[in-house]
Amino acid sequence: MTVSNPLAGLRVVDVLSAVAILVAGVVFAYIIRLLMRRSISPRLPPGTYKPLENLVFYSIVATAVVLALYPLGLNLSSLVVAGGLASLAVGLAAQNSLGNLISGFFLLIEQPLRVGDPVAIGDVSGVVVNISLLSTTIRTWDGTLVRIPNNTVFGGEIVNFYRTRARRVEFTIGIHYASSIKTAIDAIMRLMEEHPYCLVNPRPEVFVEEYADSSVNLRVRCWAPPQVWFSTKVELQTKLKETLEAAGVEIPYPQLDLHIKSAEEPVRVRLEEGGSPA
Amino acid sequence: MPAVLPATLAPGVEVRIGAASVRRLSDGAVEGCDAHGCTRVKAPPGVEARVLPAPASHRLLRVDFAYVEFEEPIHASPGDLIWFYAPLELEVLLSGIPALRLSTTRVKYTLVGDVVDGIICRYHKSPAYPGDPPPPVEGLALAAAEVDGDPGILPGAGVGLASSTLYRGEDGSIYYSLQRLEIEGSTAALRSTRRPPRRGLVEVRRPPRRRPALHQALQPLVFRLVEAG
Repeated sequence: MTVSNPLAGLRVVDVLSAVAILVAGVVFAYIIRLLMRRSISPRLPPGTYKPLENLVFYSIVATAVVLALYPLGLNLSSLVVAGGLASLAVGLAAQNSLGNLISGFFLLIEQPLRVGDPVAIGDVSGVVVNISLLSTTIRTWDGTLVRIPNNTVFGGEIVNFYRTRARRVEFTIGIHYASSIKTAIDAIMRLMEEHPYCLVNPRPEVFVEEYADSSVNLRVRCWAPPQVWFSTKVELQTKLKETLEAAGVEIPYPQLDLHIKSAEEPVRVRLEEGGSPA
Repeated sequence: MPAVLPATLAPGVEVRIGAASVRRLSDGAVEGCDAHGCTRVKAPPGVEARVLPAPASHRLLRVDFAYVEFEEPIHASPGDLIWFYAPLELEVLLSGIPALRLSTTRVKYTLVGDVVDGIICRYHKSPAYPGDPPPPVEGLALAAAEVDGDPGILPGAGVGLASSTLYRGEDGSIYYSLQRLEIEGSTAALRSTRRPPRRGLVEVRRPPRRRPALHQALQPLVFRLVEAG
């Protein structure tokens, strides 16, 4: 098998033309990016703008690379044929990178996550700080930066906490059996109605979830805008004890009542003399 | 908002409107308080401080719409003008730069539409008045919705906060620009105009701002009408 060298007989002019096209393409991409930042960026949310900018920028650069091949007497089809075994080897070696690149394109087009979105991707949870063609960078809740290859992002399970207009705050609180359930429900409802982030619609709700061993468990639910979900949950839980105490509702400790059923014989208690304490 | 705001806030002067108050301290600092807390901004006494009415779009979250639920649903036909009270904010400007935003009423939010693609709106409850505008109430703005399309029973109306202009009446009352409610079947879509809702109003001039984002300008507020059964 003979493999012809596609670069044989290459002239300096052709090489210079290719370099010129490549440089012009990159410069053009930078100019377009600058214009986009001035005209479109202020008018779009950052999460929408950044992927759009990346998509346009890298598309121009990729086009420039393809165009730069022509003066060298190469086009994509001839390159594929001429590459032969070499391109196969390179292809195998670059399999991961190409996979990431393709996934990156799909991520930019489908946009299951945007810059600024709080997300969970597999075991990593945090805020998206960058989406490039090869990887996505997440700043975790404790502040570390995690770079995830786009293959993993696109192929994995993405939980996006911002892609909903409202998120439910939910927790359980136990009240004493001797306390009034109605008083407790009214007090909790009032607390949620006074909280600015507990939405009017969908309505907040409180209901008896379970008659448990030591308490009547009430389930508390309200919906909040996703960006303040955590602070709403923390504030409600913090104020809840105070609110219930003010309403005369007791939050019980776990307790166990011991009933002795056999009444025929009195319970005998025997005191044994033990060793003296150390 | 019948209280007329002073042109500039001199040291020692305090303005109280509804639940909001703004005070210029003797050292030049400005302190603003509302139902959700107080904030103080330091400034030299020579810096001009102004208080202007502003759409209720920034305190505590940034929202583009207000949804006003009517105390009683109202029958609306094409051509009707329905008046209601809408929430308002005060903006404190230091030499023209926005420094504080205060709400004249307690802030509350609601979701209009679906959890997936609805819109979070500033919430307010108000009576609805067909025809003539009701008397002004301190701390609230007046808004009017012009009904178009089919007749229907309206549970509430909205105000496009990001795209509305504020107007001032002779008595100091504040008006949102006219809102248009297009009723189609069981839903109503709200779009704001930049027209005053009545004659004799003067536009509240504010320092030039960035234009509203594309997505804000294009998206209407759509909500369901009251349906029997």
